[in-house]
Amino acid sequence: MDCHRAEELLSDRLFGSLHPILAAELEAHLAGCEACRQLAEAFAEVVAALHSAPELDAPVGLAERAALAALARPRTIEIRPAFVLPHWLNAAAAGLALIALGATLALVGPERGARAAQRLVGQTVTAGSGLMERKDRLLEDVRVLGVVLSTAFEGRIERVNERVNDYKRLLERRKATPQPEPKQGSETRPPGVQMAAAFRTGAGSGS
Amino acid sequence: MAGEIPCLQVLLTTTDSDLLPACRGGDDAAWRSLVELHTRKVFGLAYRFTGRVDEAEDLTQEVFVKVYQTLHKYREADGPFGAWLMAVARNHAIDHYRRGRQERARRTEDPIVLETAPAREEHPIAGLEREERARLVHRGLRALPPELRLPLILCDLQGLSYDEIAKSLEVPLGTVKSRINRARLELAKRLLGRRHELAGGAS
Repeated sequence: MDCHRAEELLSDRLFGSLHPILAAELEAHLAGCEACRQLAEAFAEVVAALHSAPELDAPVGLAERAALAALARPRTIEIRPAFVLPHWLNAAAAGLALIALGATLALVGPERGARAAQRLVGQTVTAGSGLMERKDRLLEDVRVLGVVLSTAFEGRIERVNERVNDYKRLLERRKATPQPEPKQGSETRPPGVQMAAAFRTGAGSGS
Repeated sequence: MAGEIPCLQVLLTTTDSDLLPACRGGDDAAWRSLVELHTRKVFGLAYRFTGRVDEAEDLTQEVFVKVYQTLHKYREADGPFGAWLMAVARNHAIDHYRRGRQERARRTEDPIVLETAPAREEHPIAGLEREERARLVHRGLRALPPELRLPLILCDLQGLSYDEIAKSLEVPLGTVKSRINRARLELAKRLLGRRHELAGGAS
């Protein structure tokens, strides 16, 4: 064994993790090499000095300063959902959805699938238009009621009667006008319904 | 209240597991008690890495800011809180050490603080030798290149296993063992060199 190899083994020698044959070779080298023997002794002293280094005392007030420094920063709080699906289950669900979509298209054909989607869009627009019309009527009622009340506060009873009569006529007109029917081809439909009908008609002519 | 120091009796009887739920719930007093319990260890580690008290104080504060921010990530199943906290501190210290390597090379360091504990009934001459040896070892430690110094600090001053050091520094296990042996050899050669100088001066 040469000196370089002996140096490489000093840690293992110190902690007793050398193979017995290698340990015997090393001890034989150290017995015959004064420089390596001295180095091995100094090596042990260094490790002992490092291991016996006492824990240092923290400066006074450091703990308080460190705690306050942390408190001064806004803490990010992680909000976890109560139940999380495993990734593999999400991937499997996405895969199944794709397969189902592919199977549906294969069965009904791309044209029928497109028509079904157009019908769905048309019905959605019709429902939205009906809701908008109801909202407009409600606003009109509120406005008329506001006029009636303000006239009553002013003490002009004859004007109140006139406004009430106006409101009655408005209600009669509404009764005479049919409610929007979400049926194809109706001329009395509101613009949104007509637009939906035009959409459907256009889609039908295109196919 | 900012200036209030947690009562010593409370600190002696409370444990991490008592304090952690309160800390997570936003109890500032519990957080301050938790910091008080662990400051000494974190500061000790920071000082070993930086070699300067002021820098070690800054590093200690940064570690606790980081711990406070990531407290929700700690799970009891991962092991004792103290070990988790020291791992956070160690990783932060390693990053800090790597970042400031060049700046560190230009500046002076604090006087030697590393001292060895005196043996019982130690002879005064033996005590002086021990202190001189400790000074030499510590000075030599500072002079080591980072690739030798970091694993040596983690092994001989922090008591980590070779496996843990390899994981922390992201280097192969064989490299860690080799570097630690080389670092010890460097320090041993310095110590021998100094002894030879002294012996030469005395003769």
